[in-house]
Amino acid sequence: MLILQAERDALLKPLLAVTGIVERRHTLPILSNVLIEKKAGVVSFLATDLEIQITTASPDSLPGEDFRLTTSAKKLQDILRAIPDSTVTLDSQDGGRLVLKAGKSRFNLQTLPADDFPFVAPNGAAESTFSLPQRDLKRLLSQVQFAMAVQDIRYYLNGLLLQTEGDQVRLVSTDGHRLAFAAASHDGDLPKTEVILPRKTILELYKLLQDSDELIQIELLNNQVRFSFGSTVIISKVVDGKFPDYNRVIPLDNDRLFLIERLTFLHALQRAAILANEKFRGVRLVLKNGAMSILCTNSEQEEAEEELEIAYDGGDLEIGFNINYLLDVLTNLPADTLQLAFGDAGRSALFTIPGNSNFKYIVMPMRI
Amino acid sequence: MDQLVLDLTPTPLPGFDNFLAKRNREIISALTDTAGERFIYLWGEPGCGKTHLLQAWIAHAERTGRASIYLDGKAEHLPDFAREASFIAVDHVDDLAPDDQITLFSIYNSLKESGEGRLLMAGRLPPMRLPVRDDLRTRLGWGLVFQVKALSDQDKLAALKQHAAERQLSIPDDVFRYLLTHWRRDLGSLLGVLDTLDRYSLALQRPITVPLVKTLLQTTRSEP
Repeated sequence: MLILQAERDALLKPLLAVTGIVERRHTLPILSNVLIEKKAGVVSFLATDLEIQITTASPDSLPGEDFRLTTSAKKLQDILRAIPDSTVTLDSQDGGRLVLKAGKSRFNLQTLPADDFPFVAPNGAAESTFSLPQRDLKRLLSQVQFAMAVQDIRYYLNGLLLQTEGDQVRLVSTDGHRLAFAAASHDGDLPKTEVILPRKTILELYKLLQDSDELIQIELLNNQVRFSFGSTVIISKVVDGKFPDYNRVIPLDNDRLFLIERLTFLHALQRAAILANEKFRGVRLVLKNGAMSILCTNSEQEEAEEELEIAYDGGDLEIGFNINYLLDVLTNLPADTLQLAFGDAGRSALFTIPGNSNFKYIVMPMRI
Repeated sequence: MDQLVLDLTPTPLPGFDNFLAKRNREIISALTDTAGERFIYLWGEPGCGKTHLLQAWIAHAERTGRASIYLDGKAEHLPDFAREASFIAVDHVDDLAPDDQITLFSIYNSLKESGEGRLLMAGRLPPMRLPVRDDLRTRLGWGLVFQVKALSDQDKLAALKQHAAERQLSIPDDVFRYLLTHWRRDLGSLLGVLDTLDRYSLALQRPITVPLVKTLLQTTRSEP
């Protein structure tokens, strides 16, 4: 029985939006499937790994009967990608088979009953709800997401703190070596709440957010958060744990200050990084009044040296860093000029944007 | 080159709630009893938790708004102004220098005469066997005297787990058992090495496992 006829892209685009979270291997076979549901002309796609659930709908209304089925997300995605852009038909056959046809191609796929699909149910009513333009959230995420930890035993670091208070929305991430803070003003009076969003949710959300003025609604539920934007809804568990008080690691008395052009510094570091040690990634910054040298050496005793003129008169300092931590912030910082503030070689450095308190980056040095 | 780490988690203050040996419960009730004995002496083997109790008692006093002071007889001379405080803790009484013994004796007497303030002292030995001046030794025995019972391995394991949980660290049980059998036996050292492990694993971005502990202990064993 023919259940669906649509252009390839009308199916592939929403499918790609949800399949990013599908785990390759899972103890529960149905979790490698995507749930496809057609109701009142709208075809929706849903995938989950039990921590996150993403659902999205195809943009156009499609004719035909209602149906629900689940089939392998990966295989369906690979097939739709591989076939030429043309009309695709889906046939539901006896014995739970799904036949996909496009042009002269024909694929016979297994399905599993949609009723067995495990949904992530929303947990109670929203404790806090707010909206902001997708572009703004995407920009905020780009400023902090690179500092999240990866598979740390401190679960609260494998994610990003979302904090609301009054007219402020703040995002903070740290892996214990560096910490990134970004804030945005929001008109409205938000309650003081905070949740830790899992790393996977953030990466997926960042991928799906459009660079547009369309709003994304964020709802903090009980131990869950729900993002709704366009025709997409993401429900995610939050990380169970207490995020550290980030204010205690922001250095206030770093008095070796100077301004620097972001791209000048970035390009000099990128050149020096070619000869940075592949394992330790160390870079030495040598400050003298009026100049900063950037020095990298690798295990083969090769050396790179860059010198930048800077308006600085705070005296001599030699300090080491993981060069990747500097490249990360310089790549993602939305400003042409930034201020660097150093204490001494054993204390954290602070990166800020002059005249803007909405961004802070704190990075711990390496002992040289 | 070693990566330094952000100081994300403040060290929790010693409190009576994280002194978990059930067998020492009567000591805690004596220390927190506002109408109870004003002069208390605790004794027990090194590492049984005396210092922790003294510091928890001081933190407790500060929370209730009392002027308090913690003095370590091993590390410093007892200042005469200590008598101004109303809660005075004197640790390592058995290591007091002769001059400090006189100071402590005089603090004791002035508290006794004034009828106010409290004095909590600790040492390794029961009062009668303390190597201090006779007059001080008898005074120490006049108040309440408790032996702080040493923690069993089970207690230490529980304390280590609680310490890890407070720091939101997920650590497999075999790490704790390894520490109990391969590191110094007293709880202070054990908890200290857990803090070191915390920073070490954060700097290396590696999980806390027995192999990581072995690497750390090899590099630190030479240092005391």
